[in-house]
Amino acid sequence: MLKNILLIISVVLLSSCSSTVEQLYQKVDPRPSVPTDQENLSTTQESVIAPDSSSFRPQEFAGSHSRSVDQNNSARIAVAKLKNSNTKFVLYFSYDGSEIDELATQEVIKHANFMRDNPMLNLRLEGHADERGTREYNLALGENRALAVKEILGLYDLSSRIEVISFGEEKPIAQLHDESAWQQNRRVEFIYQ
Amino acid sequence: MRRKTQKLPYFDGIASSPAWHPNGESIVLTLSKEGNKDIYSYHLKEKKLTRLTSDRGIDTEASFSNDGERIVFTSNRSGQVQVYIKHLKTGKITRATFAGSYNAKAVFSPDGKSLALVHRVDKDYRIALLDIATKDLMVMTQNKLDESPFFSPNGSMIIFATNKDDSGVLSVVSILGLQTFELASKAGEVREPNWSHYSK
Repeated sequence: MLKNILLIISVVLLSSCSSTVEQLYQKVDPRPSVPTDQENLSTTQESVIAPDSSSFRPQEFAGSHSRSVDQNNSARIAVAKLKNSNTKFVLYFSYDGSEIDELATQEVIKHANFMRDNPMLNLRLEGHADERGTREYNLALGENRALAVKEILGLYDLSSRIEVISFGEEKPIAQLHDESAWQQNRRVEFIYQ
Repeated sequence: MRRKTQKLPYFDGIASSPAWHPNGESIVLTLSKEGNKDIYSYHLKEKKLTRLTSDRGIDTEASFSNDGERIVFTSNRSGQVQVYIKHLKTGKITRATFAGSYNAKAVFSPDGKSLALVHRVDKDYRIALLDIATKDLMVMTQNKLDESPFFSPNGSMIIFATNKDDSGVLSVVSILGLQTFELASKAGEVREPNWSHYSK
């Protein structure tokens, strides 16, 4: 009987401890809260956040050291969890712009925290432009957009794990020739590997 | 005839938009090895890389004048995408275009007096001819998405790439009469034309 009473007391104490630690963690955690869909609808920003279409690419560009199947699966699961947390894997930009606004910065910071929690993962930032203007200029513009994201991640000491590549206007998501298509094509994609 | 291939050195970032010096000994190209995109020349025999522009903005799409004394390039250093000319002997850079908010991918005419370039008119990108001395700009086409202009060797025509019915086609416009004709092409993208030199 006494044993049972002690057990109940310790469970109560542990759960109270756990909730205290959780509350404390929430207080000191610098990570931004996940924005709601309503918040994401802002279109007045320089760069607008929209649903993602990126993925995890195991080993495709991973360099010399290879990862086991199990490690790849863990990495894939970790990335899937991040996606399910409503974190955006694509950032969109204004015409001829490469600035990242506050809302988009919050998304980049989520990726920074994720990378720090998952040191086995590297990130490839793919910069894109819409079809307007000249191809070579758009290639440079796509790189500028990806570099702008990398610059923020660099503040978290993650630069060495980030690869930047620009496709310019060569890989559009939307094939039409109107503003809605162009808006979708001015983007940076986050691809973990 | 056996052709020799020379591999250029690797640099981090973009290496794009190469163009030959008229003497065939060097090229100009865009590199982003320092982060921002600048114009460099690379001497093929000496394997020497020289930086020609240094600006926080994007500098790209450089090409030489026929005498090799100037390069023309695209830059957004003013906040807008405009065309600039650098005199290689003096190092002086001057802005060439002032009309409109987007002028890019310029090439010198054979006599070095004018430029063919891509000029934005409202939402359309068209081929225009710029008189370098007077700054007069004449829009030469009526399409929506023209690019990559290049002069014929005698300077009387400009070939360029454009988009028709969702397909890339080549087109030629005459400078005097502004007559335009399309070059036949089958399905698929056709783009980035260059005119060959006179063959003797």
